[in-house]
Amino acid sequence: MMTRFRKSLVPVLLMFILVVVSPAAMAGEWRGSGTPLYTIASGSLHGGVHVGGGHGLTYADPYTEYFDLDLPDNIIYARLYVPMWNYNKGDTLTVSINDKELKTRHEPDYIAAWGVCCYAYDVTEVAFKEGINTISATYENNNGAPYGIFLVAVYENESMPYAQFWIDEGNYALSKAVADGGAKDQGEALFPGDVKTETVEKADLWTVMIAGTGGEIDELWFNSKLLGKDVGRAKTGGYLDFDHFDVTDDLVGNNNTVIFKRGGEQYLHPFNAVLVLEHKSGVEGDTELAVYETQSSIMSSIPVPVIAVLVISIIGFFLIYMKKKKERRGD
Amino acid sequence: MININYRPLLFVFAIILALLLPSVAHAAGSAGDIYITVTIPDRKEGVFAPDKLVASGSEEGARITFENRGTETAEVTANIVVPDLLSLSVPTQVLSDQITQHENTITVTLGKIASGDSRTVRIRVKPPESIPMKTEESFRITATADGSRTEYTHHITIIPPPSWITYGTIIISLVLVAIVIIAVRRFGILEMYTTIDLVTIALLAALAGVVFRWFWQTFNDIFGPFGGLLFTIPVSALMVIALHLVRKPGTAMLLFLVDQMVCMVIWGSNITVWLGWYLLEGAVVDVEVVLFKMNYADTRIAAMIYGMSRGFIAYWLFYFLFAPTAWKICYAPWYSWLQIGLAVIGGLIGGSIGYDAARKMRSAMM
Repeated sequence: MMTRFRKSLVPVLLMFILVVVSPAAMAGEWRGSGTPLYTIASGSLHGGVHVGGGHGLTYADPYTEYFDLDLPDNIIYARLYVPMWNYNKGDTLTVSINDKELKTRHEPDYIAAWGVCCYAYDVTEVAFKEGINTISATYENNNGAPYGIFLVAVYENESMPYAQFWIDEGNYALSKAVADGGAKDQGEALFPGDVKTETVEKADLWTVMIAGTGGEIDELWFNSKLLGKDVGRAKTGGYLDFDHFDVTDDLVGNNNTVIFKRGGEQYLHPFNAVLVLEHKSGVEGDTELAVYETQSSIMSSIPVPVIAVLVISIIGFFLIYMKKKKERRGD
Repeated sequence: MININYRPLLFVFAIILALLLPSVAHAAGSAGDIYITVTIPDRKEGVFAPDKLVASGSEEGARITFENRGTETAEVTANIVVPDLLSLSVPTQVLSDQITQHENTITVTLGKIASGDSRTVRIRVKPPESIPMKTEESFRITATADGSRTEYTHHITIIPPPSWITYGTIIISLVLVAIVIIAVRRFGILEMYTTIDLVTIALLAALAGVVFRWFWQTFNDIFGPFGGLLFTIPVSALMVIALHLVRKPGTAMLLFLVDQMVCMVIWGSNITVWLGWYLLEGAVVDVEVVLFKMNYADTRIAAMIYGMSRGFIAYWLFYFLFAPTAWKICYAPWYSWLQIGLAVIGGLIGGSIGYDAARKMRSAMM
């Protein structure tokens, strides 16, 4: 009888070994909570910041987005984002800007939950043209596709007012899943440093979020101001929310902060927050640009519950077997 | 001196000239040569149902292509009238400077389109939040080229999310939960299950909801369209094992209830509204057990039928009810049926594997 039980235990043990050992070669799918948003670049200049993109998950390949740029020759810093669904090891992404291919990427910069990822590019040196620029993404990804293409370009123009900017990026999975050690209810994007609020003429905030669902009520805050409820509702296309807010009246003197609250959302992934302050005429300053180190996270691990359930199952079935065995002996 | 009669020859020339005249008249291009196509939603073709939008769905792209199939270059302008039910926006695109929008009408100066060449206009439309019934709407497109006009009407269907199904599901959920509570209290159903039965169900449900869900999400890409088999096979196998070992009415439903509760805790799945939906696959199998005279997967055929039924119900519900209702997406019928077919095959294989595993486990444990 014991031999027969051992035989039946073999497939369970094989499955356990496969599950535990194979990720070393495969890269697991569950990626945890990802990377909280952080500032990748900030600075100030006479000029502006172009923030644009779209348009949701369509599974089109190539996935194309158009950008209308005014002063491409004066760009001092530009960052391109391609958020994507369902990254797995072996997937690739090739971005072309005006038919010029960038190097094919084999790994994203940020990844969370079940493969929601983001490829980030520094495209400051890319030759953009005045007017319409075509950016397309071709990809190898079974069952996955881009959620959008976004471009943030900081450009100088001496005739424009003095401006300050912060570009925050990341990919933080807000969810009630306990697979990564507990529910994540809130994420923040900090814009560190001081702001002379009295000279600010206009403050613009852009946010990018993935996986929001209409009717599942989330909240978006800027400092102590509620910017909106149910902001994440896939209004910019499939699974995508790209929003712009005028936050002129809600600035504080230092460390302005965007707060993403999950509320009733099952999953919500904040990806970007960009703050641009336009100062009143008469305010002068030099061009300053600080670019910070990338805090990429492509962690792959077997969630603890998966291992725990496997172990408990094996122990459980063994105990059931032992109990039955004892009962049979008793009979 | 040979006398040649030129009349037949002249007649032939006249006919040739007459035939050529229309093309001479069209030498500057004609709207009749402009072939118009509308792709909506502008998603990967084949997988999603064309010309079908779901009310309250997210903004969708549409692509309108003007192709010159004539032999001459044509200077084309176009007028696109979008149905009033859809709210329209025009994204940045190559032709941005040549597009003007007035409410739901777009005028595009497409410029010169060479023979065999084409121009594409991209628009974004947002379906209405709700409509009382399935509605046919039309895009009306007029292309004008060098004085001539061609008109094209493209029909689309806007469907309401099957709201009665949503409400029905909630009612079914509540009814099922009520029945379960009444049955548990009145007939002492829980007492029917021994501790070992409950532990067995909990372990099998945890294996399905945690281990195999993770396993499927992790490895399904390797198998492309067949990736779903990685889930349907083990889930069907575990269900058959549960039926065979526990041998109590309602085992399948209880298994899927615990499975969903485990998923909710571990992966954060939202099951509150759709609980009835998830339980339905178990309910169907439990009814089949009764119909087969309390056959708890005691025969291979019964085990395979249970697996196939579970696969069919789960995937049919997903593609034809859950996707349009919850995700506001209509998959192409061929794709939906392919996936349902794969789920049925997975159920068949899983049922057979489960039958073998269950018999071995039963002989070892009982």
